[in-house]
Amino acid sequence: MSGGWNTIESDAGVFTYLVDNLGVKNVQFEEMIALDADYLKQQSPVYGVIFLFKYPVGQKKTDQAVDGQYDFAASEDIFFANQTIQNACATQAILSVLLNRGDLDLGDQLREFKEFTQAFPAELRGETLSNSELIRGVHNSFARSNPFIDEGTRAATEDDDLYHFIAYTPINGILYEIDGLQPSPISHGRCKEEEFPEKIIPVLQRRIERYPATEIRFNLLAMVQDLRIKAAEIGDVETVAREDEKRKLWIWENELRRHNFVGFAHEVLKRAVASKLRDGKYDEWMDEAKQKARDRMDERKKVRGQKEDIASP
Amino acid sequence: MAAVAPVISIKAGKCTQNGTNIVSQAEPGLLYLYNNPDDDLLHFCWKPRGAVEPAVEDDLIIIPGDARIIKYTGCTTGRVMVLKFSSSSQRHFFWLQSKAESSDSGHWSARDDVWVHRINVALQGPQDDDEEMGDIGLGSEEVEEEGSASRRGGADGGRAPASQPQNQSDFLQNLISQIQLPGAAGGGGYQQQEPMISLHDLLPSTTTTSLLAGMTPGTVDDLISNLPQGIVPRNATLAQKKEVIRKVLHSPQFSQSLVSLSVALRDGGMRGISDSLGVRLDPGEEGAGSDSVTTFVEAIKREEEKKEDSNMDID
Repeated sequence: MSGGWNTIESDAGVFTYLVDNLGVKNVQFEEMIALDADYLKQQSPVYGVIFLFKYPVGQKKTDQAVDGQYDFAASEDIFFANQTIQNACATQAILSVLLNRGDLDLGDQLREFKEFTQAFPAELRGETLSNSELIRGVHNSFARSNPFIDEGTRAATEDDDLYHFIAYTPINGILYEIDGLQPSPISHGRCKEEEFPEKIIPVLQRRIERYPATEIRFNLLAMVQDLRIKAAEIGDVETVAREDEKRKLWIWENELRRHNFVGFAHEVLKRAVASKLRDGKYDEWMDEAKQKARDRMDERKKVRGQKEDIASP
Repeated sequence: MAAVAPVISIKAGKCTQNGTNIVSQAEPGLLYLYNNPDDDLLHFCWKPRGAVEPAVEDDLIIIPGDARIIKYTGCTTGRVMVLKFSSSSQRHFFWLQSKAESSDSGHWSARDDVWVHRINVALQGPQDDDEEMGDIGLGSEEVEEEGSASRRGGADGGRAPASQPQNQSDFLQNLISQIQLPGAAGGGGYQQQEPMISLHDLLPSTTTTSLLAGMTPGTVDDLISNLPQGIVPRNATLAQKKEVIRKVLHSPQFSQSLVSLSVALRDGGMRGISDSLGVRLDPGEEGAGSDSVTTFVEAIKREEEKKEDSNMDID
């Protein structure tokens, strides 16, 4: 567990309540299922986009901006922090949008953090972020409760691919890509606020095309204004009700994410075992589970077919 | 096991310093070094033997080249060594708990010397010195389970034939292949391998639905009390509570937890988990392995059968 930062899920409900708990007002996240400028426009005002991707290990880190221009001067003016902790990257990407917007109500604590780090160079900003009790505390409160995922079990996962989050947002009339692993913000050209939904799409498209279509998995979350605000203004009661329902579901899911299920799982298993014993079906039940596991293994074996010759010791 | 695979792991106890005397503590312990993939640093650890992770008692981060282990010659009744740092005056004493290879308990055998040498090589940090690393199977010589007969029998110290790979991805590869090919040393591997059941294989919706249907109010309350209270409506009716349970049983969060729990059981967490849940294991059942989920469920089955019997007695 890198310096006490746990991984969190890339999910609109997690991100929305994460910024809410940081004290930010009237901001929410919407998942973008497709690269669709029109859909994005409907969510306006759009503050930025968080792009998560999982890429195969072994991809070379690039030394130069593959797409766009490094803007070293901008690292001074805008909030840009070098990423020092892998697991913090979701929160870091979110902050890269939040702290670069002049039009958001950040809440006292986050505003103080912004002012405090303003004069720092990028490395120190990253360091300060990693050490912020507030930010780390809120971030970790959304981590999946799992008393077992310690180093040992994590090391055993087969595809320990890398996740990375980057942020895109228009700042001072320029569309910036903010990636804490890069030396500076990357400029993708001029972009007015209202042009952002339009201009971000080709940038994301080029980014995704850089990776083999079968290998990359990605997730896009747009940071937008609380959708209930605009709906309430125009008297769209339906949307308000729907968004309220959505929030309830998010809260429910977040509760379950945090929950340690070991006790519950044990209780359920005890009941299942007892009921199978009563019905005389215990052995049958275990055999079915074994069959499922066998099917899964066969499936995996098929996928890994050729690799196996090389990998087996 | 602590984090990936330890670079070295030997049976050793701690010593305390009492004035100018070094007093050995009898508690069985394990001294081990491992590379933590998270901080990329070498950790020098000591824990009571058999302690469940992550109950590490001592965890020292080693800067390559800063520390070394030296045989302490001032002791004739045991084999004591001291960990010293060039950057500080800190000293840690340990004594070897593996049976001495001669009748003289203070005698350092060639094997003991090799161990000290191994530790010192590891303390130097990664090196591209193939000769140094390749000569003997570095590492797994002493990874022992508590209570194994070899502790008293002096049969320990057998070296793993394969050399321990040095970099992290090799470690991983090694770890994964060990998990996937349990006991497949004779070759054949995959074909004969028993698949690992995961707990979620045991709880498909057909099972949980009928389970839920037949649940008594008492059982429902037991289950509800194991869920976050924030998701249960105030003064919920039995039907509402069942609905909460049904939704949880079908939630991806619960499924993920079942998978993690299964992995944890397989990867050496068997004993800790069983203890904390009050599931009694039979001797020899706590080892890690692909069938640990089955073993765990069998242990629950024994409890349930016992309960059934005692209920009958009362009736």
